Amino acid sequence: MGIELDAIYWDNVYLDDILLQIRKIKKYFPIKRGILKKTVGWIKAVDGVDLDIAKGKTLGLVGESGCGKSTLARLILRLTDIDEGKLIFEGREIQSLSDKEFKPIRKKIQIVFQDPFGSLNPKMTIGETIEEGLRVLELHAEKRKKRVKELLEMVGIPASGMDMYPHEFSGGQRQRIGIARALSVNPLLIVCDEPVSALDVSIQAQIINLLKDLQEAFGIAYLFISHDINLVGYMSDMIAIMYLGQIVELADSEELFRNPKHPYTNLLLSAVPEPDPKKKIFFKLKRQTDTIEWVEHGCKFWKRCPYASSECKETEIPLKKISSAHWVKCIR
Amino acid sequence: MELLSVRDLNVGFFIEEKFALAVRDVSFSVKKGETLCIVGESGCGKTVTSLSILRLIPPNGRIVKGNIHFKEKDLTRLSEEQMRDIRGKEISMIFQEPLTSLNPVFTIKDQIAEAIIVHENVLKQEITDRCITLLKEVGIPEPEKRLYDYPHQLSGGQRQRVMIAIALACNPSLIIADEPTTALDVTVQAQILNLFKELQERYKISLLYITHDLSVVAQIADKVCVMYSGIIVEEGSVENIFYRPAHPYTRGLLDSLPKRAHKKQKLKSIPGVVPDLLSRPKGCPFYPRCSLTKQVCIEKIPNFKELEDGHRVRCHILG
Repeated sequence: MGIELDAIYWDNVYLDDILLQIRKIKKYFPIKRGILKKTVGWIKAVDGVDLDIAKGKTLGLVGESGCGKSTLARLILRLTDIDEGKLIFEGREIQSLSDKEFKPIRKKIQIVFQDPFGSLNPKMTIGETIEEGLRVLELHAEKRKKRVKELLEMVGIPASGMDMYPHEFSGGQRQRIGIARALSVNPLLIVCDEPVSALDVSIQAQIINLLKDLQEAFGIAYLFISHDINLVGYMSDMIAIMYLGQIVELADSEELFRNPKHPYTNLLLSAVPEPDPKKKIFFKLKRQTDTIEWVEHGCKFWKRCPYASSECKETEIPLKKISSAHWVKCIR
Repeated sequence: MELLSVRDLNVGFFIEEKFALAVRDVSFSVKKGETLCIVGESGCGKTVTSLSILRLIPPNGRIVKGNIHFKEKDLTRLSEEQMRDIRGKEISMIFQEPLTSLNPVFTIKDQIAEAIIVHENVLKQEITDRCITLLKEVGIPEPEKRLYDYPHQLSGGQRQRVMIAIALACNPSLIIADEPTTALDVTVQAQILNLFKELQERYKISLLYITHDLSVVAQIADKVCVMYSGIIVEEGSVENIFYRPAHPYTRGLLDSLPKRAHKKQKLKSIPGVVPDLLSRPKGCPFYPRCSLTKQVCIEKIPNFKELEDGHRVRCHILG
């Protein structure tokens, strides 16, 4: 199978503008039981995902815990090996490159983690942390220092802070340092995995503004992962809704909120509380279940779906295009 | 008639050989069947406030001043033994992390039964029946089977439901819930919030709900206290807080929420950071981050101004 060259969405975007194409990628984790650790089943964490990320744009990825969104992020960064499928970065297949071959590409794809406390090495000064990435670029020591100062100022940390340790900074500042580290190697794509969910409300807005400013200044693309659909709506150009390892709906961000099609998207939207006492949440599930139940065949959502028919239980439904910037994986 | 009334509560901690007040002059009251939300960011003193009501603050903390009146008793003056009769019976507590607040080596039944056995004399069979009724009450499917499950066999939402069942076990008149939905997914959060409302309507329980999430506050609160750096900066009905916010901090919080409709605009963020417990400013705690700061703000903490019935704000400039 050759590279499928058609951009699956963005009719108005030329193929040149697509930075990363994700094609049918899968990652299954074995479930092992007993003394012999026999594999008794598979957890399909990422089960055939197709997505495109355009240069300088933001793709939002929304889903509940356990839906596979962080696994997807790890696959894109090649922190976890892909079982099946293709990753095409700037027109080149990268899923089967060796570590050595992948090294020059890794600096173009960076990540900002959720936990600003666990993601910085407590034994390194923040200057050293940021400099580490620059060593890969093989910059001269003096140039590295200069660049670290620049980076810190870019993210709003005084350059005098470079000799301080992570514990001397607040959560918001640490997240800024994490962003500076990601920026240090001039990436084209930054995967932001819940970048503000560990932060206080008044600090969240600061970090979101910073991410938007940096995108404008350097044309970086973001894969913005979050469970907060309002925040994703604010940040993203396109939004993908993920459920049990699959993308169930993908649409232009305004279109998604105006015209949500998939019952799961509707469920998510109706469950999000609004900061307005007049708008109360009201929704009923078909069955009273908290848990996302695993479904082997057919539509993954049918057990919780109020519109499920017998057809839904059996047929595998592809992601279908319903308008110029809207795809849905639903039979209706 | 107020069920719980907290007056001038001051709670401090010994940290690094210094004594610092984490909660300063906090007063509020909760009526029967009412929901009061305390909203604020990390370190604002909302959890310390809730723990002091049950006298559960860590050993390095002290209630320095103030009264906590609950049903004509002053909780600050009760003996440890008398407190034990109140905890879990009259006032129960639900914590944020349902996995760590349940004991992993006991079954669900053991843990619900414990609350009942401690406070009441009941027969063995009766306990099982009551556990089943409670689990039904909080919407756990097949309670007869689930009774003998261990916490790790339940999902996060179900664990939180079990926590609520334990809290309900002795028909309390007040439940203190400290960020009970923060660790949960939105669809589960919506169900738990609905459950709280249902239970409250049925049993007229008062709820003291602690959260940092303004959207949740809008869903569940009757009254709201906004806390910042250990003091209540604004207090009022949920409508007052959301439609007529007066304090610059409340306004800042509401403005900093992302709105899809204003995508092109930048978010209005509150500059600066929450001050550390040991380095709080002398005057209004919010002045270093406030755009309206005048000399008087730097010098002293403002007193409450009454704007309209029950809507009070602590600000020198506004209000």
